[in-house]
Amino acid sequence: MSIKQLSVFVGNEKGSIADIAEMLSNAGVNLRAMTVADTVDFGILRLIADDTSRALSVLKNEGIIAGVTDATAFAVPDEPGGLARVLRILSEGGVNIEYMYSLFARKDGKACIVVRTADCAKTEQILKDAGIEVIDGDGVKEL
Amino acid sequence: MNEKRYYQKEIETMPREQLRALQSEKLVRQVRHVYDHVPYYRDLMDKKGVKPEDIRGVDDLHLLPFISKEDLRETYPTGMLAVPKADCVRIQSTSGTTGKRVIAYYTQKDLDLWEDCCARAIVAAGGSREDVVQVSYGYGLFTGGPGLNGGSHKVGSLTLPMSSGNTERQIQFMLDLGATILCCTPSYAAYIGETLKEMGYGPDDIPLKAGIFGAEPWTQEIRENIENTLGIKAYDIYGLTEISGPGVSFECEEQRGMHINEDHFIAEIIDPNTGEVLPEGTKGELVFTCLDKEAFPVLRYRTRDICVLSSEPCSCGRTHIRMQKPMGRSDDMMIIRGVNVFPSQIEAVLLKKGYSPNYMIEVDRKNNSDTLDVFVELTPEQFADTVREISAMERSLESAIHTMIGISPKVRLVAPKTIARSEGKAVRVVDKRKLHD
Repeated sequence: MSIKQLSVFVGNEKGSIADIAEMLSNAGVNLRAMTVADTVDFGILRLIADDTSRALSVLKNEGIIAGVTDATAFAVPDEPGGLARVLRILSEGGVNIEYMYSLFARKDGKACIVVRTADCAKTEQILKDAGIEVIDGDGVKEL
Repeated sequence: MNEKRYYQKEIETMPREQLRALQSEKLVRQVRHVYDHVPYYRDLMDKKGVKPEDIRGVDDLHLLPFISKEDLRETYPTGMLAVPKADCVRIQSTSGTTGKRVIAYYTQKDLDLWEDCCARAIVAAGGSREDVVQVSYGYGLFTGGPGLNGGSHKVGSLTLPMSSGNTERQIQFMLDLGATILCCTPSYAAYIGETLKEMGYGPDDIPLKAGIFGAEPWTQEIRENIENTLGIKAYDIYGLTEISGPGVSFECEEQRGMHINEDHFIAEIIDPNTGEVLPEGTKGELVFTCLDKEAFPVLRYRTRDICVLSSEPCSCGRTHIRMQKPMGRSDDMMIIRGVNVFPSQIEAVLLKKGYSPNYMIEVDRKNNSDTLDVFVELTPEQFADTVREISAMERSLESAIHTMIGISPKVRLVAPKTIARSEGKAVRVVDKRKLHD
């Protein structure tokens, strides 16, 4: 059920994110989400692509360090408190969120959120039990 | 089979007593030659009150004055020449990175003996006339290319005079012509291995069986890295332009130190502070005396290399004394916050912890205190998904380096290919402190 997220190591140099975006665009890969975690010296770029395995092989061929990790995506009503409610449910279920970002597109008017937790299966079960719509890999592709 | 293990069996396996007698005989003649033809050294001897007739054998060697790199710079370009220029057929030169260049002259006989030394190294690494030797050291003033090229000719191997650079072409030649022995700097060998992998080849795709690497300090860890990526046995070779070039000493299959070609060079270990000769087995500065050289016969040359000698019998059958791999020339040594640090110490930590041999050391001075930054390329296998994990890897490396050298560095992991690759002698250290002086 979980979705595949690409993590890319980027040096702290001008143009390094642009280079990666161009490599992916040249290969016809479309992005669904993107976020950067940065430090003084390096950054980790996280991407959701419409074709993860293609994106990974393109980057690896270019000598870029990248890996695939699992993450969980879900849809929440786009209204005040829509996200807060879900986060509270996860917190009460004992799930710790390592990081979080959102997808570019909406799904049926709802906002789409990606979270990375230590246990994707547990996270998804808690969401489902609370009646929250979980989006799988195919679901992300169709957005 | 035994015949093939040595290039010059009689000399290489000569009993030590006989070898010492040979050295004594040559030394007496050489001191006379230098005294008569090199006014600069004659003055040094006169000042010390030593006459050629005082030197009756190796036991009297300690009476002679030392020659330092400064002396060679002082006498640039012809002050150490001991024969008429017309008798010389070649010069080679040091890179001059640590100051003025040193020009070394060779007569035809000098070249012959130097090439013999390199031939011994190639045969010790398993080379014969059946082999194809790819020489990827730089050619030109640098002694690496010409030395191994000449040695390979002497062995009768097919010699590929590649010089360094154009790495994909190097690999193409290696594949098309079936090179079996590679000669280059260890950092370039590592780069060839990396490029080979990128071109989609593995160690089994190339016919290489051995490599002869030298001209810069390298660690056991980088040896293993090269042996694995190229699928070869890596042999160390040592030398310096001032003495002749590569082949002053070389490794045999035992790889327990490098055999010094003692029929041509006498090695001593001295206390670098007092100049006193130290007993065998003690760590100290390596000093060489050339016994056969005609054009540029340097006596008691202080190499600034710190190492240990051992004349314990070697199972390869060679009787010549072995020198332990020097930690690095004192020219490479950095003094950071008053502590002596060799780049090779940092390299050993990186490789031991599974990092790539691609790194750069930057020393600077901020707020009157020395800083040490180590840039290391991250490898795909080590990539972790979170900032926390990568930062933890940096901290762990910092602590391992601190344990090794006693100074806290700042480690920065960088993306692959961001550190410039070397085709010759690797430049590992950038010392920005000089800019402030």
